[in-house]
Amino acid sequence: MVTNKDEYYIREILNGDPGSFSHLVEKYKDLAFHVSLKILLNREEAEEAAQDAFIKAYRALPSFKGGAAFKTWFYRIVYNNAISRLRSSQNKKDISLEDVRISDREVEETETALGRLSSEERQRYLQEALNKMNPEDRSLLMMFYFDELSVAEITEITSMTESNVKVKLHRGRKKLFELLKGILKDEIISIL
Amino acid sequence: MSANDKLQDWFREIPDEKAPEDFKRKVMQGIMAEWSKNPTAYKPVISRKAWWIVGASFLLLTVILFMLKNAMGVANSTAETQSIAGVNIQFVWSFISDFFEKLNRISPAVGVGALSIIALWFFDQIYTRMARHN
Repeated sequence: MVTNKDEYYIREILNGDPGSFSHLVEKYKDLAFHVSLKILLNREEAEEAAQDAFIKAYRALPSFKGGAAFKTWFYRIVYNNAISRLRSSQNKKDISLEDVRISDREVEETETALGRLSSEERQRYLQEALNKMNPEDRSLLMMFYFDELSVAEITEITSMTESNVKVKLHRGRKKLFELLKGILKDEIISIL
Repeated sequence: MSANDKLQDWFREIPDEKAPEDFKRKVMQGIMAEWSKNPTAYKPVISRKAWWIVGASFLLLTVILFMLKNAMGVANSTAETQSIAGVNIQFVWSFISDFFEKLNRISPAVGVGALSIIALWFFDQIYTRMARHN
């Protein structure tokens, strides 16, 4: 949400005070960094991408419509910036959503198995599975489950249609469970 | 608890990634470099457009008063009896006459001073424009 403080600092910046931008950097730096990191999976690249996103946001600030949510507007810049960086590096090792092969029963079983794990183990497996996913699909799941953005906000950020977001979220969830199932299976085999 | 809620809870367990310590400093360095390339100009309370309007209005008023003064000179003999729509305009004539008389009485030093201020303002405007285009 655009807080009054955000609006105040934006007005100050547009009136010729670039120093006021530091307040927005302080507030949104972690968001920019973690969104970039979840897409790029590399801390150095994510840091560069997040810094780049702030510079782009500063340049685009005169076009920011005060009525829109600054967080969503900025999130969109961060997301697009990280995705375009990723595309330019042509990382095609990721798994596409097109080949989801997991039944609803298997999803349930994986869910139950995950529920029995400790929080640390679950975090590790979840992170591992997420890292294996296509960056765009991974970031969709992160937006919805981690950042707790609404479908409408994701639609605004990604420029996808609402139905497309819903379909991708559904398939992304299934893909995540398929990957988790594979990881858990490998773990069990390695223990035995 | 639905599968969605469970997944949401598990995602919440993932620790939030924090930006590096010097992140803000690096961003602000970039912002200041960006700003110095194209600094946002100081915005005066009275805009340049408003100043031009005021200047043009003043010039127009001076010209009108000057023309009226000349017209008054021609019709001076009948000025005392002149009226427009029944209103005696002798007061207006005398005001215009006084204004130009006072203008004539201004010392040359004051005139030169005023002209210098206008010239300084003019050169300042030209310099500001050149600085913005560089």
